Amino acid sequence: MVERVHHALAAVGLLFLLAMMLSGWGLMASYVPSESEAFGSVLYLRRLGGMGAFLRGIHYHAASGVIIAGALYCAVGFVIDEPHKHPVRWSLATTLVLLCGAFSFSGFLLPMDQNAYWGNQVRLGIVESVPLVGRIVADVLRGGASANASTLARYYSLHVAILPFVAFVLLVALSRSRRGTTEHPHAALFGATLALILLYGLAAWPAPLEPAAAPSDIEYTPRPEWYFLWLFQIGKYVHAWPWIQSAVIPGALAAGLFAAPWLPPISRARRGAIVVGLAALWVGLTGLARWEDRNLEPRPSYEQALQARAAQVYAADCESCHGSDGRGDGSQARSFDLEPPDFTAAAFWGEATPQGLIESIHDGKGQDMPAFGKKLSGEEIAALVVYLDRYRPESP
Amino acid sequence: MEWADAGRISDFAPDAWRLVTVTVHSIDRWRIEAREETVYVRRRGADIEAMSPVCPHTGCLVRTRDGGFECPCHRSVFDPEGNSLEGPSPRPLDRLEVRQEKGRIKLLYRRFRTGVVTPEAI
Repeated sequence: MVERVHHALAAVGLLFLLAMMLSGWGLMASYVPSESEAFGSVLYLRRLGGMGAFLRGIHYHAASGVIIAGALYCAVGFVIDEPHKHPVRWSLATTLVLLCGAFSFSGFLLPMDQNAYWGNQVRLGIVESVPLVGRIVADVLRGGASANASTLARYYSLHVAILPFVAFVLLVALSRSRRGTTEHPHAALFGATLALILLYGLAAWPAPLEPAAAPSDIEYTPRPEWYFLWLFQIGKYVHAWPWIQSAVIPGALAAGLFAAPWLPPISRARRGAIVVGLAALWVGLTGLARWEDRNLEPRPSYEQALQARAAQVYAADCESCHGSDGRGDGSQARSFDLEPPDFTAAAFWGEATPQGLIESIHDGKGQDMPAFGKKLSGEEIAALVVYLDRYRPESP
Repeated sequence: MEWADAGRISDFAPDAWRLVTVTVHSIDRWRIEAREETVYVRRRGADIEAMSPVCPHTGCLVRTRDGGFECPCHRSVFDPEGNSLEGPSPRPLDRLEVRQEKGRIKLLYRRFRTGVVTPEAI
């Protein structure tokens, strides 16, 4: 039974990898790996919805899926003593799982939103604390001692050329190493189908996107992805010796995986106990990290941040005439005898079009509405038009 | 490297750190960049002091808290002088070179390597 689960997990992982490859190819049709264009090209996909947003959703969820499937595959494989039964397959498979970590690391920066920029900043800081090699690795990744114009190109080439090549070689080697082993085609088919259904369902939730990277934003609180929270939590306890977090613990984990075929065999009960213990540790540390951050405000998405900005603009530049509830009864309007429109009236929305509203804000209207085209960006004006929608009366 | 303008000296209340945004021009590979950077600036009698908000641990930006500073990433805490009080930061917050010119504050914006004990400009 457990062997079948192991097989099914392999199929799930491989299907997710295939989904990543195909959706990745699709994303490459629009994504531009340049610091000034990257965010815009990802935002374009998100705004447009359709196939681009669907592919990005698939890519995002499959990335999480492949990490879960990979971790479970290693855990179940360890329990059924895969390291001693099929040492070559075990070594290749665990290398592939670790390679997925490298994929995640390099792909993480590509959207160039706040999460990507700050997360990468902190990750590289942690990499730098690895004794002897950490600094060299970080400098090669960045192309210098700090992030620069070459950084994104390096991450991109790793993500779409170098790592896929290594993964391909590993997969070919894996397919050869399977000869002579017991197959469970039905379990594999079941796993692949399950993964496919899961992925299709998850794609309904678009991949998140935060505001564009702002390296001088002092308000931003970065947090690692869920699968790194355990290490983040450990970092809090060993902060005087950062290399424990960056080198000793991940190194021990990787060494354990690679050395497993050569370690003396232990009973199945004991192997199970090790896996359950590690899983409990993972759950505990992740839970603790989340609990300690319980008062942390959730980070706004791009759209939420833009609407918050629109609210600011409305309060600063519009409210004095248009009024805090959009009725056109602000203090200025009353004292100067102006007659701004009533945003809560159905008549106003009967005539208003998004394009017309944008023009009115940009160029001004009549004698009283000033032009804001120089003061506000196109993005802010568009956000204001969306913001005004809150005053629109519900249609009868 | 050029001296970036950080505002008029008279706009700074004495003895309190204030967050200032400066525009820094630099040559990055093939392009000339104008980046916005944030800096803490304080007036101390006739002196002006400037401090980088970049946490020496992994490079997040520290915020003011109880007169001192705190990093939101790994909870490094610093006193009002920027000295490390608790948390993983390997050194105090980095000071930046400042000079006064015709009533205005000019500063030399720099980044320093994170995770090392002695500051190392990059």
